[in-house]
Amino acid sequence: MAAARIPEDKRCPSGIEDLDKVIGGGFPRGGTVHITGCCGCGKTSLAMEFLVRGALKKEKGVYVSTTKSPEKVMSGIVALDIFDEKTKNGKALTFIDLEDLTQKLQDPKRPLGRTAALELLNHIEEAVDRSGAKRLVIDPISPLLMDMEPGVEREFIKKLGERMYKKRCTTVLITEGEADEWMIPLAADGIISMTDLERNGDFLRVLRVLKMSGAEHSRSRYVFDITSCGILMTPLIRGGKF
Amino acid sequence: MTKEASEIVIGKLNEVGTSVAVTFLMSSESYFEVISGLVDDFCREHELGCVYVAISVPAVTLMNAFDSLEIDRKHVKFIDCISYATMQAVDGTEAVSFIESPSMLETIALRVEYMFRKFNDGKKKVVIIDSANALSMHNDTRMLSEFLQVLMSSLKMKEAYPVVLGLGDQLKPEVKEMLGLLSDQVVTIPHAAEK
Repeated sequence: MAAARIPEDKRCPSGIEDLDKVIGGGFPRGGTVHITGCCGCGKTSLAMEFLVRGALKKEKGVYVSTTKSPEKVMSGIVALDIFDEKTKNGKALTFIDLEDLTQKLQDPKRPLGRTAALELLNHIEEAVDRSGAKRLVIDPISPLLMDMEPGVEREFIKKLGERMYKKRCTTVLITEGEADEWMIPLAADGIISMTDLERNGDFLRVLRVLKMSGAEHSRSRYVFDITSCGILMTPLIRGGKF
Repeated sequence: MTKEASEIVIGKLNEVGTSVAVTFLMSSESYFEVISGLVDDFCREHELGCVYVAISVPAVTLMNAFDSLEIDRKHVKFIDCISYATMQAVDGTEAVSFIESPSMLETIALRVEYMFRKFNDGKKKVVIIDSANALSMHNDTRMLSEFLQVLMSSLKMKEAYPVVLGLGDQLKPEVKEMLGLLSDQVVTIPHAAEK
């Protein structure tokens, strides 16, 4: 099902052609999109393609890695044909290791209290401002939230969403696990669930859009493949009556 | 006889043109002549690319066969759905993409799409599904019919030549019936003895 296309000033095209077709042209511009799913199902690849395709359209991006160095993240994903050396080494994309930001905190002891969490948010915001980014990815955000005192993570997510919205910077937050395991969905403008589906012993990578504000999006499940041409999607075969 | 089999195939595709899904049902004796007619003669005549979905025979076997017959295969990209399942070597080259199982139908459709995007040289393409028999061994007929309908529709929009091959006398009746419904044309290539 293709959703009705919404004007680009209101949408931020992910650049993943098949995905944009089912979400009305792109993510809500300036909104927060939550990508959730099991380990190894392709969340980082999707987020990275969102950044790279944005960079090719002159929309700068910031990628914040919370569990691995950005170099290690890059080495573990399928290389995109469009992600050439010029884009990789240019100023369109900024890669940040969260550890580098936490080292700047005045009180970096874990769990992070409210002051430290908001200070960290300021650092992320500064990185976005410095580069003039219109796309931000935090991958994954769950370990960062787990490192915060109870209640602080809710305020962090809320303020992150508000600040990025003011900048019209579309934000992708990645978590492992089920979509409702975190409180992020409550604040998200879009939710995409990615998982492995077992069918007669085969494991298919399946994607489903649970929410995409402002779009009459498809609610069907799509099988996807991660290729050097990017993520490709096709509807899950249901086995209709013949 | 064998020359006639490839002539029937080429003649039919020339007659119908692009965006017409054609199923060729043949005997096992005609099988290789039909393939070489499609991959070699027809593609060369029209300067076409070729996406070969190999389900019954591993891509490496086909490549070796083409090489021994001195058939140029530079324009052919293979989607090998059987080597993983039979634990054959799956050393990928740009010309071959491997799929773990012939029952991963959506993945087959996605790899075909991938081949179109990756090798987008402006040439039209013949897409050969080899074969309906092998696909039907691994898949429920209802799943298969949905897959073929989606794939054929997509290929028609790309102005490709969608071709399904099958060994007619070994096909289950319900699969034969399905192919009749989903293909724009079903051509039965007669045995030598019938001519």
